[in-house]
Amino acid sequence: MRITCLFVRSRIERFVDEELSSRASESIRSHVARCSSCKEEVRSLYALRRAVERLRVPRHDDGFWDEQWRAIVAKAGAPGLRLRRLRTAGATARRAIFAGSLAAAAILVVAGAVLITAPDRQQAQSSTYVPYIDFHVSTIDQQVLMGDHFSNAQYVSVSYNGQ
Amino acid sequence: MERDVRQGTFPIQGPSNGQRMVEMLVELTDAELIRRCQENDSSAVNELYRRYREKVYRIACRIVLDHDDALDVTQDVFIHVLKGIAAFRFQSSFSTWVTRVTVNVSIDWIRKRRRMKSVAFQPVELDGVETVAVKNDQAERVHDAFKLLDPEQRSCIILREIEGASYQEIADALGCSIGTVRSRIHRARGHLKRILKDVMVE
Repeated sequence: MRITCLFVRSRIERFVDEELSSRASESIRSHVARCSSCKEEVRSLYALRRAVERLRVPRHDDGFWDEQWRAIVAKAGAPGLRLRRLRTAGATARRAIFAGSLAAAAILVVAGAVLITAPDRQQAQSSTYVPYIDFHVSTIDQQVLMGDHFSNAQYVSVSYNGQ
Repeated sequence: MERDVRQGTFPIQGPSNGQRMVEMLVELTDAELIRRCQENDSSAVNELYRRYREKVYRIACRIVLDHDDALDVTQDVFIHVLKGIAAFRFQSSFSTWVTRVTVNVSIDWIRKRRRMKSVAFQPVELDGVETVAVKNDQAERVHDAFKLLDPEQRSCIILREIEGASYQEIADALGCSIGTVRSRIHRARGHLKRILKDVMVE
């Protein structure tokens, strides 16, 4: 099957990067061998690779790297100790998070309990007046009875309406 | 003493325990070394550093484009490694993980530097091409051309062209899709081809 330049160009980088299947690579290779413009494109990609390789990286000896390692260890702490410390630090963090969530849950429970029991307490507060009322009522009761203006049934009705 | 040696009763001095340990560590795979690191074996950490220090420095040097900064990045990378190795779960190879840390630390470094200098990133422009073309030293021109790429494109093209990583390895290292890697490499090559036209001919 003959393939077009357009087809090759859409795959040419993957061809140079060896990212195509062997079959696809073979068909592109045979096209590139015949087509001068596609061949030029492949050549330019390899030339770019060679140009990129010119980026200089200085070489250092073992002594230099050992010195660097000492600096790294000094910054991070001794390797062995560091690992232990990190594990402990992780556990401490987890414990702190757990304690924090426990405290938050406790606060929520307390707040909820306060809100739920508030009407009860109001009721309880009102119930403290009952003995006074009773006392008051009983005083009135005595007065009423002494005055003999109302019957007992009438008194009960009046005194509760007054409250 | 000579007689003792001949009779085999005198202990002949062989390699020290330290030497034997180093020889043994050299033979271990990365995964075995990591397991030892997780058991707080500091010599295993040292061996991993010995294996990867130059690769980390090489990548950092080409991404941050400054030798001194690359040394700082290398230190930061290994500090990250020391901190993270206890939690390493072998979901990728150590090499991929180190590459990812190196690229991320390098990109962070570039961004930090830009913020410090308060200079916003400038995309590749034709003015940049002219400035680069004036320089004679080819290596310096390649260096300056790379400065005009954004850090992600730079990372992709370096991992592909210099480290010889596959698209999948680059995607794993950078935490992006293969499509993204391919398009970054394509754009980076386009910019570099325009800028380094004469360098590529020579």
